[in-house]
Amino acid sequence: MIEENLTTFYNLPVKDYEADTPLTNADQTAYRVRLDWEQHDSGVKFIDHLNKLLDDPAADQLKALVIGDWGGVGEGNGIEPVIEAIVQAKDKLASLEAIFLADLISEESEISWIQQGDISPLWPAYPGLIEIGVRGGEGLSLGTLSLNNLRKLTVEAGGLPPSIVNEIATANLPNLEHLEVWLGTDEYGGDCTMDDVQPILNSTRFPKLNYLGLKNSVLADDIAAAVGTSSVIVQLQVLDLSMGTLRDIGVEALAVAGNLGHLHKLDIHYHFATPEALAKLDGLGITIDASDPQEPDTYDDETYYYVAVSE
Amino acid sequence: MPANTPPLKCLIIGTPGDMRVAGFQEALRELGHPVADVISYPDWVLLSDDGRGDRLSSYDRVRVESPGRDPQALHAIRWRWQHPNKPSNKQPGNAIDDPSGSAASFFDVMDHIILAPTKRETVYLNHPQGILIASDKASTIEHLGGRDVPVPKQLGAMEGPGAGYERVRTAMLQSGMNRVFIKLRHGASASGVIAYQVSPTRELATTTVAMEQSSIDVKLFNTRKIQRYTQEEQVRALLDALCPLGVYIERWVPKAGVKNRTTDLRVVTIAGKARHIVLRMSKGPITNLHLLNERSGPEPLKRAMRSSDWEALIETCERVARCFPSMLYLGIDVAVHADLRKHTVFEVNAWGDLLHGITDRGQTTYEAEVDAMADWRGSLD
Repeated sequence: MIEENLTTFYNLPVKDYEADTPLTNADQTAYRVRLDWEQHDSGVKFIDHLNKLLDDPAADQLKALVIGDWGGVGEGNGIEPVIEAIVQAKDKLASLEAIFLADLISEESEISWIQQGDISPLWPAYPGLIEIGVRGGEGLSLGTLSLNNLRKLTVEAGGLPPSIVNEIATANLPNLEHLEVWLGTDEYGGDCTMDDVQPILNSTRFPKLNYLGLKNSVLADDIAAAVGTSSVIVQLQVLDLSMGTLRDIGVEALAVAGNLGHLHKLDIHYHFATPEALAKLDGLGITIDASDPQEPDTYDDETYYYVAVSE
Repeated sequence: MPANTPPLKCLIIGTPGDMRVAGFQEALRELGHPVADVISYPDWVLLSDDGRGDRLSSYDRVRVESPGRDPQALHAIRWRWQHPNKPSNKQPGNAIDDPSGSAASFFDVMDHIILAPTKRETVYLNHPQGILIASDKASTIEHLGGRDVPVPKQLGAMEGPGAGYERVRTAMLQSGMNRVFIKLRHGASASGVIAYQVSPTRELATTTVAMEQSSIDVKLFNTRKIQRYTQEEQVRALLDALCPLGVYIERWVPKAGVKNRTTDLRVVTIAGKARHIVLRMSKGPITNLHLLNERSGPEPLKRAMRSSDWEALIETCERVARCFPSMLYLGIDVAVHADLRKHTVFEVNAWGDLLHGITDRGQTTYEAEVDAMADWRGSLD
């Protein structure tokens, strides 16, 4: 579960925007707009709160914006009005390079209850975006992603449907360096199969890609098995298969993949593998994060493996 | 012991030899006071009114201790006044049985302490009157809310037949609250606590309460493992079984996260001052100490906050202590909000001073209490 709000974004410290308080160091701070639960209960409107930030004279210096709890998120209040407001503000946020949508902790909303939406109107409004982060896969649509300057894309979810993975796989992002996708579990809408993931593993669309994270996934073992014949791996410095249900079979596949020796790091933290299997990775001679080992749950003779973030 | 402090002879009403009594005895010894006399609850309830009065009059200080989990003490409390002739209704292990019977008897025990005819004024370290308020969580919230302490918005209390899923959902709908905490009114902390959230299309009850369903009934057990119920029929069974025992429902206040853990604080006040503070960190919404959740000193949270906001939290805790002027010590459960600014007080614990290995200014909670007790008089509101 995600239980702490972002403290940094776009390599900038995150600071909560306070209504009627001027922005300070606007170009060196990732400002977060959020409603405290008391404000929401007493009828404060998120859009009004956001508009106060947008009307600040220094808003045009803001490089990074984080959208936090916009109130009633678990009750069906979707993000689309917020997207609309940000789109309308494109002349006010003239310097915006990075945006994170839905920085909510589990105390504010379970990740799979976050009502995302069609965020594609952002792209024509902010064509120069360099970093995009999104939390919550329910109702999400990225649309046609064509952004020349985009270097980092992160999509966090308890489950991502094939449509999203497809939107990413077919995106036009020639300068993408960091791609992080939380595939999740089919219990929460993450019903991708390897057919959906292969286009990313064999992608030629991201020539600058050096970090690939296919995380938080019930497909972890299958992805690990496919790594050895995946053409994108040779580009990478970091391969991240953490937070998923990776077991011995997946670790053993990584050990014999044969194309990981150049990596700076293989991240498989939060996994279900045994020390014996993990020992087989020693031969790779690369930095490996295999921390946070997990035990599956057993009920009535059935064994259950859980990804790190689902509900 | 500082010079000019006469040795004080104490009476402890509690369970001889348990951690709390032993801890307090150790502190008395450390600070040069004589060993306290200890009377167990089973022995206490057998005394006559005059016997109780005599006993209370013979001591400089009286400490009404928690009966803890001692089955004989609980049995004595539960049955002595309410059902003197009924056989004991032994429940297995951690079963949540009807607490209203034990609560009522517990209140009787406290009342009988209060009403005992004494020859001189008894100086309680923790007055039964204060214990009674603190032990009824809904009363505590009302008591504090009326005195300018931030407490969660209450949806109200319910009990008896008819209390259950339907009434909870209706109340939530009518008040526009889609995320609530449901707690046993008279339970110990983390006994019978449910973090419940609903949306137009789904629901999730996160709790330490496990269910054993038979064709006849549903038995409830406290566990140390978090249960997550997402099916309506499970949640219905849970609430229909728990609510009749007497629950209160409040708005779920989103708590701050540190090191990717949800946090809250146990603050022990002694003689009105915030002293020992424990930061509780958990995965998920249920943070309680006895669930073996991680704990530490408050620095990781304090560091993430503005100092003025931290000081405001301390000031609130000291105000809470002033709301209970008859209690030398109090364990306050308080959480900082998700945005690390304001805070909310959830409950107070009359026996919340059992904190292993935590010292403040070199003193354990018990040592600090013994140190303060010479000057302590306490007063009813």
